[in-house]
Amino acid sequence: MKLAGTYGAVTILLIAAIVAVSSLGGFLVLSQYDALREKEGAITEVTRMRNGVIAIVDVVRARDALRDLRDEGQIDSTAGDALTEAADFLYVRADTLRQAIGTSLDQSSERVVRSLDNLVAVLDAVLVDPAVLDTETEAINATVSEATAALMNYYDEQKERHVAAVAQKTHLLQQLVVTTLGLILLFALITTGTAILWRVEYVGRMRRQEAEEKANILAYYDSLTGLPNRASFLEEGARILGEADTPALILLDLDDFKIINDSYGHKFGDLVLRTVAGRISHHFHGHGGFAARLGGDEFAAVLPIASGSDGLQSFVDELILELSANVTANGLKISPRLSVGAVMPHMLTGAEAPTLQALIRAADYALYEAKSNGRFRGRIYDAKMAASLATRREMKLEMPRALARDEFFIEYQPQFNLVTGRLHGFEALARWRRGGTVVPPGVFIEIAEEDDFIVQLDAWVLKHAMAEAVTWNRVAPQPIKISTNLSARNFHSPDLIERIQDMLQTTKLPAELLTLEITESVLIEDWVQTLETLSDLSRLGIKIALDDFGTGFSSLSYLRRLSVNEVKIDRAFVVDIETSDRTRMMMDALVDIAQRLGMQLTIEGIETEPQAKILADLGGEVGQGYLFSWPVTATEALDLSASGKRVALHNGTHANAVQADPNT
Amino acid sequence: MVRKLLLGLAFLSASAQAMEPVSVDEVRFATASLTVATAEGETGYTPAELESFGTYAIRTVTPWRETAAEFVGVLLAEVLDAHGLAEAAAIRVVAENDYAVTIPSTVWTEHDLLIATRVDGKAHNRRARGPIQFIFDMSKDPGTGDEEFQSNWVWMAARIEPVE
Repeated sequence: MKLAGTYGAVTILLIAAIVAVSSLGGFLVLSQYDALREKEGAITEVTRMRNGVIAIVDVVRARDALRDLRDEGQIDSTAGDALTEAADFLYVRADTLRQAIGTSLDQSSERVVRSLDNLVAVLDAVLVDPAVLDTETEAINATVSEATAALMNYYDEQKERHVAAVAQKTHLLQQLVVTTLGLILLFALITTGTAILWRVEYVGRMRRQEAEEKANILAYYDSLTGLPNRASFLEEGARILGEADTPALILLDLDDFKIINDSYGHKFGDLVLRTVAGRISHHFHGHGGFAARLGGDEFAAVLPIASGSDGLQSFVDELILELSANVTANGLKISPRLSVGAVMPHMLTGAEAPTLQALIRAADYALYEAKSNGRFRGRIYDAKMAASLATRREMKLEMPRALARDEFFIEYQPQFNLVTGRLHGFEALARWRRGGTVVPPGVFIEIAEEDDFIVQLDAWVLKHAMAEAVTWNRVAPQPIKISTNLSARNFHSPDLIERIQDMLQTTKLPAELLTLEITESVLIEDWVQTLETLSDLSRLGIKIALDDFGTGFSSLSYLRRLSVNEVKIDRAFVVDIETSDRTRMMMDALVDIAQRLGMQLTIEGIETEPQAKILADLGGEVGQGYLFSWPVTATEALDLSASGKRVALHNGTHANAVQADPNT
Repeated sequence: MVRKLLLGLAFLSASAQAMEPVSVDEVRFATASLTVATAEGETGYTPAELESFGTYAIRTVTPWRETAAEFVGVLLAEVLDAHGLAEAAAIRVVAENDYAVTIPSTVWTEHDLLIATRVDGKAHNRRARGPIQFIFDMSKDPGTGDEEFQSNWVWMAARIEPVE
């Protein structure tokens, strides 16, 4: 804009310059032309010279008449008539010259008029008395000579004036030519300058326009896939939804994109994203719709015309099938699998207005259901989901109040040493008693994780669990560990270290008795920051456990890169440990890995004695599960700690082990 | 140019309508003669003889008279017509003092050109630029007083001949 302003000012200046030069130049040329025209001297002088010449002829005629008269001696003769004529001619000539010279009577003109007047007077005197011819001969001759001389002088002077006037005219003409040429040159320069400036301005304007277009593309398009981005979806999507009669909003999520990236590399991952984006865009454009990339592996689309729930379901199923066509590059080949959630405005229930936000929320929930039900499928939002989503929304609103009202409480899942049968510690588990029923933690934790409430909840659990653990350790014969879950949001909150430090100081719990359990979801975010936080926690003396090990996809890779103190094996490895050799062998390997890396291995979900026996035989160290105990209250935990009793492991395995203990 | 032509036409028509013949008394003229020379021969006219063409009057100033005077004389156009010179492109006029000038036809077709023989009722004389003088109505037609035009104000006119 500043640039445009500068050029605008320059352009105005140039126009002003052109106007000024035109006016000034025009004035100059016109005034010079006028001066040239007004310089009429050259013509005047010619007329005057002609008059002078005629006067000389008249003077000569008078002189001749005088001579003839002198010869004849009498006035009544031809010579007398000639003299009369000559006197008349001179009289008129003198008068004519006097009139012609007018007010600009200069010396030479005055001399001519005076000498001619004198000559006329002399001639008149002779005509009255011819005798004066003899008596005043010399005076008469002198008068004639003076008239001739005056006229010659007059003629010369007029000639000089004429020459000067011509020279002046020539000079004026030259000036006029020079001025005109100068003006033409100046105009050429100004025009060229203006043209150049306008060109520069034009190019500048084009560049700005390009930059604006580029900025527009950056602002409204996703640079990787070329698809419209979230911002344009919010605009365009809202527009189509507002205009169409039976639209549908569809959210798409590429399943396991993280694995594709990790396994095949980012380059191939990007290619898959671009390909899928292209297919989605093509498909929806074909149906008059609009598709955008919301970010990561998420896409959103709007279909202007959808034919109800069933029609939408088959549309989505076809779409998923079409999108799963192989993507190949450099010998790599995968079939992209997408999960899809879709909704139409009329599917929203209750008083909820079909805003874009509400539809996105609903489609997101349908997508969540699709993912929960095994991915690679599409779900259409329905009344059941609506009810469930409504409940979740209610819960979300209620939770902060519930915490203040002590509706949340903690249960402690005891953990035992699989070899000695002794109490190892407890895992603190948050519970919510909501209107007489206990909400499953799988439900409310997920909701709490949607916003910062999880940070509050985590802190609340941690504070109470640590306080309890201090109590247990006062009465227990051996150290009792306490572990709690640390959500991703909490893990990444900037004041985490400070808060934990405070709690350790307040509760006086020895740091090494505290274990914070993190899941893979914690590790997906900023890797450098994650490592730093882990290292800070270790410095406090706190133990870190990697929870739900074996359910994720990159567990082993995390183990390779992170130094955690403990690995918690998911119950999935326990369920079929009796029947599956494969599981047993994997567990054996995991135990081996943990031992070699110096990590404690904790096995979750032990429900039967054979499971416990097998795990113990494999070298499993710590276990928890219903076989040993259901989660207990704080008071029960205190009792359990104080009792110092061991769990009864059958077949005497543990007794043997315990007995063998002193010998090893 | 067109304007000048129109002006000229206006004067031409004005001369045809405004100029009325005037009758004059007899006076004693100075000795003078205007000769009209054509291919057929030469005819000399004294002022009195000239007046037989029919006299007209013009009251006007001249380049040499600040006060208007009444000039009486004949129209050049009529004199030329009488000698079959109506279509002449130009004439050459010579004065008694041997002054000579070529006058194009536009001068007498666009302006009233009077060959004056009398001034203010008296016979014209030489010292007053007579006895035979070419007069224009400068009071009504000021352009005739311009310096360049003044060569057409022939005085002491003595001879007229067509220019081939």
